[in-house]
Amino acid sequence: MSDLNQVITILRENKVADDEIAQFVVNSNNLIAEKMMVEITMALDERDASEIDKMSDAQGQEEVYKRFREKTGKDIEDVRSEVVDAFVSGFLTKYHQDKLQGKKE
Amino acid sequence: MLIPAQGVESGFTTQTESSSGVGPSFPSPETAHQSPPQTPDNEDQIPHQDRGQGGDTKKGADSPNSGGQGGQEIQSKPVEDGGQVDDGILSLTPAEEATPEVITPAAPTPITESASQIELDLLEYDTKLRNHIGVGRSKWRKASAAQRLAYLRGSGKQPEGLLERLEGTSGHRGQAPQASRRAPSGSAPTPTEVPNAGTEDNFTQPEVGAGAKLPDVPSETQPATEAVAAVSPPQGPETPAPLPLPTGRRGDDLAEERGYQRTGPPVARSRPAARQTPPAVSAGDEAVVQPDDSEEPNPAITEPVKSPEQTATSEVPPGAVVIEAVPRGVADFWSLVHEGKAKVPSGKVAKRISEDVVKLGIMSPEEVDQKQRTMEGKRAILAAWHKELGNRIPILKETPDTTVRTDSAPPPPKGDDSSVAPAIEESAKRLGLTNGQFLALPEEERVRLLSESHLARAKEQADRQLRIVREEAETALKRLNDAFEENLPPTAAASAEVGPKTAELGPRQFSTLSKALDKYNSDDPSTLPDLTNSGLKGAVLKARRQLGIKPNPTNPAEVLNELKEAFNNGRIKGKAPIPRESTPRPPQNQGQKESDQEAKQGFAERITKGAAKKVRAGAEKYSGFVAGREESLRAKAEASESRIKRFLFNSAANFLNNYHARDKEAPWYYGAFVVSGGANAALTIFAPFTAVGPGRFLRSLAITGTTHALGAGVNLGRRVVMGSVLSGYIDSDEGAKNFNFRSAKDARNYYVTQFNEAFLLKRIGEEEFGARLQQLSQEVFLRFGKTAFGHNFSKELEEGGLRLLRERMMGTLDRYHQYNNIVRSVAAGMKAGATVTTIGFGIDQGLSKGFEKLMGLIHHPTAEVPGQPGLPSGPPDYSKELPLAPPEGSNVNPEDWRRFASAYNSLTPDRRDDFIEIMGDPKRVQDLIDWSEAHNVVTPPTPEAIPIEFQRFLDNQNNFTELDINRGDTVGKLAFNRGYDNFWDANPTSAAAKGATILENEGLLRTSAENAARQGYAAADMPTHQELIGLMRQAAGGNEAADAELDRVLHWIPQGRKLRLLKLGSTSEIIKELDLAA
Repeated sequence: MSDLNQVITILRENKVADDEIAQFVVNSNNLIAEKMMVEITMALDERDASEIDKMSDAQGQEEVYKRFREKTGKDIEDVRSEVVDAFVSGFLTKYHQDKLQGKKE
Repeated sequence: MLIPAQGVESGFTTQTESSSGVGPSFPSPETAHQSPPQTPDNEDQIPHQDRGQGGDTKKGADSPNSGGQGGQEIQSKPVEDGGQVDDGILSLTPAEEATPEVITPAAPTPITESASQIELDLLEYDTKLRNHIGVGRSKWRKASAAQRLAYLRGSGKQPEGLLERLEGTSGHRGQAPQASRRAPSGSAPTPTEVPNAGTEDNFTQPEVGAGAKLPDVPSETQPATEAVAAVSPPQGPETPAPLPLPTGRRGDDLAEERGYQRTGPPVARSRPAARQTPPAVSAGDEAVVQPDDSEEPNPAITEPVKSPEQTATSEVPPGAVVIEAVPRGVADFWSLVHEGKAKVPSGKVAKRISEDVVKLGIMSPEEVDQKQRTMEGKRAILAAWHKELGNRIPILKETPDTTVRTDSAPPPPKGDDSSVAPAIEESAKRLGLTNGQFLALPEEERVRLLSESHLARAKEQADRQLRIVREEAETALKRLNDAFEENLPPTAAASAEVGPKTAELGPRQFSTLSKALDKYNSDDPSTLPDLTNSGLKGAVLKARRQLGIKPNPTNPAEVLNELKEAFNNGRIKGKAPIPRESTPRPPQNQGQKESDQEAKQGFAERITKGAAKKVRAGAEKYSGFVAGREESLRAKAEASESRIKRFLFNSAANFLNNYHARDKEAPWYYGAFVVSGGANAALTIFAPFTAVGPGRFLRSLAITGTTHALGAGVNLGRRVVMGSVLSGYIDSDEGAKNFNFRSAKDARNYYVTQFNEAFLLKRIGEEEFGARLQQLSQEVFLRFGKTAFGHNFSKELEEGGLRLLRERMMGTLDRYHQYNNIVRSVAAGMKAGATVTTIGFGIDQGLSKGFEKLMGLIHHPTAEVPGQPGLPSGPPDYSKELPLAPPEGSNVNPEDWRRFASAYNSLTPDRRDDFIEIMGDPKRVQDLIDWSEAHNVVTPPTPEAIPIEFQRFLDNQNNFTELDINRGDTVGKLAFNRGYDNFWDANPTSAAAKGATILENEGLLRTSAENAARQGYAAADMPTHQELIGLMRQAAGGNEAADAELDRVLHWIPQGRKLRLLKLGSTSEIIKELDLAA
């Protein structure tokens, strides 16, 4: 999440109001969360769902992490970082591209 | 048998050395040291006077049998029959005439060790024995002698013969050989018994824990000297004056108890300070240290006394210095610190040492204060203190002696702090007991009584506050009433109308009451609403007052019946909600609206109408309250005073209000979002940026970022779909083997990876992605002979992905609610317990740490504080506060109104009801409040809304210490240096310190935070006073989130300025004022 600081800095530089930045952060945060939800849902099948459904919150969460790792070879947190990095890199790449083009113009 | 032998002449005997084969093999600590010379005329030099409750420091001299337990160090004299006599300090005689067998003190033995050392040894032996049999320290300490014997017996480790010899000893916490001074077998010895006291049948031993030195136990034969249990000094002119026993049980008391009578006048319990060897100090005592002019370390721990009272009276020589005894563990810790094995103490320990150093005249208070500021200085203080007192640090016994005389105030039970002492006194007084007798009660009983006392005091405190508030408000009310008559408020006017009285409640109270009355059925007691609920209680009280229904404490159902009747008759009405300023939505241009509409239609085409309906139904079923929740969030947003909070609630509501598709990026993925029944973050992420003007630029950045984010990760769904699609093209193992694949599956996996990577090119651009897709398509065609699929592949994946996600998610949404909750929590990065039923990924109920941090970067909002059972949660409800300005158009005096409103606002909601009740005219007060509510737009409280007594406390500058803020200082560091041990923990003391320090340094902290924010650092907003007090209360109750809020406010402090920190000693007052301990 810390990489989002760069995005926020850019927004500030462009005089975006604080509450609008906050709204942006909320939405990006939830975008990432939803992306992760899709990832997890696709990784775990119905059998997993029926088993985890009977577990407590803590145990179930642990099991989700474990099964996700087993099926994808990646940790959920690593995937989350990838998604954040991708968002930030996409944003920044585009920003610098546009900035560069703007200079050209 | 006991023989006067040599000891007769001198009046005392000593014991045989254990090496003689006669002496006991486990030395009593009492006898592990030589007794002081005992002569009839040297009594003043005898150190064994009144050393505390346990009496264990009298060191055998007065212990009838201790001589028989021969420490090897003792210089003893063999006597006939293998017996020997004690050094016989206890100069008691039996009640009847002493018989010739009575052993008189032997030749005086020189004092070789201090009594303090003896006591140290005593404790050491006790510890050794405990360790030997493997009993826990706490258990051992609590055990009686009988229990200790049981432990010893059960351990199977007792030295041979030890148990037999220990039988019959009565227990007294083990560390004190007090039992040895009691009459054997519980009866006073007769003169005829006394001569036999030395036999194995009736000699007494020190208690197990007192001084058994196990390796030395083997002796089976008890020396005759052990029979000195009943020893008394010789009669006649040589008989020394009786010497007092240690504190708690003076020698004469014990003598009488044992059937002895005094043989001489009682001696004074104080001794000249000129002694060479100071005695030890025992339980509950204070050692008296006199100023010493000699070069040697101050030897003036002259005389242990029983109590401060005694110290203050006859026992403290003029000019003496009183050094309080400390627990053994503390003394040990100090020694470790002195040796550099532990860190320099702080807090009470440091304070205590500093006080001693000043008392002893080693340093001046100023010097101590100066040195306290640095670690080196603290070490210097400690070193000076240690050098002065050394091993003569008075040691407090670990348990109070319940036999302590009641004329002294015993220390509170372990675990009690000083705040309990008043409770002890109060409870004891209530029961007509002395403190000592109270402490002698069983622990459960004491706890119960103390709890009652504590509750009574808490109630008294609350009532006192209420009375003060009432006093403050009553005068103002009287003057307001005059104006009130002229400005009859609508509610009052309504109530004054002829006809049945009506009640008008606020919308919230009306809703609460109407729900409760709806459910209530007078024929069914189970429907009786819970009137302890503060909201309902307030509504009932208000309605009852306005309707003129008298309270009926014994039968609340009657009141409810009347209320229900009034409710059914329409006499209870709800006010219309106060109109609030709504947050206008950002204007949308027509083009964008159309675009959105198109996007919606696009989605609708992708998923069938039936599927969309099902999704919605599933989502609602999954959450149970989605639609209502959205409304609730909107309401919260409107009610919120904070812009940020308002926006947060609105955002959360937006998550529930799906299908605001405005962009067409990654459509298959958005489709999956829709299917998930979740939020539409990916669609709203661009919402802050308009599609025109500068916002368009940022919008395109966000879109690109989103596209990249969606392409990242495992994308298992896409891979599955790809594999599925490829299976139509790569289905021959033979063909696959031609290209070095092991099978068709192996080939498909390879191409799934290739195609997946191709999708990542979408981040770069559609062209790159298309080119790579085409290349792969051709490759597959060339290798496996199938038609190229590049043109339709993307679409196939999109549709396949949607289908797969829909199946997977819809399959679980309906059936596995718990599973979905868990997955959402994991996806939102929330741990179990933080929140489970996350709508909009938890934005409603909690924020992930990273997110919260980010929010701090922007504009640190006063985050929602998760509530704890029994504690208020979230921001204060301002709607319950009275505005501090009078209603517009009224001619009441603003100052009168402010005072009235401040008094009212300073109370908790529950107490406000009580406040109204106790006022001179409750109905007038209620009308006044209603009048205010009807006329005023609710405003947040101002700083004046601090509890009055708390404000008075803040006004007293003596409660704060002004500290320089040096480079690298933090509030925590400064607090630590001033004695706060756990400043960053959530506890009442820290909460009081943080809250008061924040209020006292409000301007400084606010400026610092603003400066930090300008530099781009996260900085907390200064909470309102009311919020602050709420946070203090929650933090005091252990709420770490609230505590973290307080910490954040204290985070930035400016170097070179001064911080006014609450003094540690003043925290208790705030804790009481705000009832933080509750």
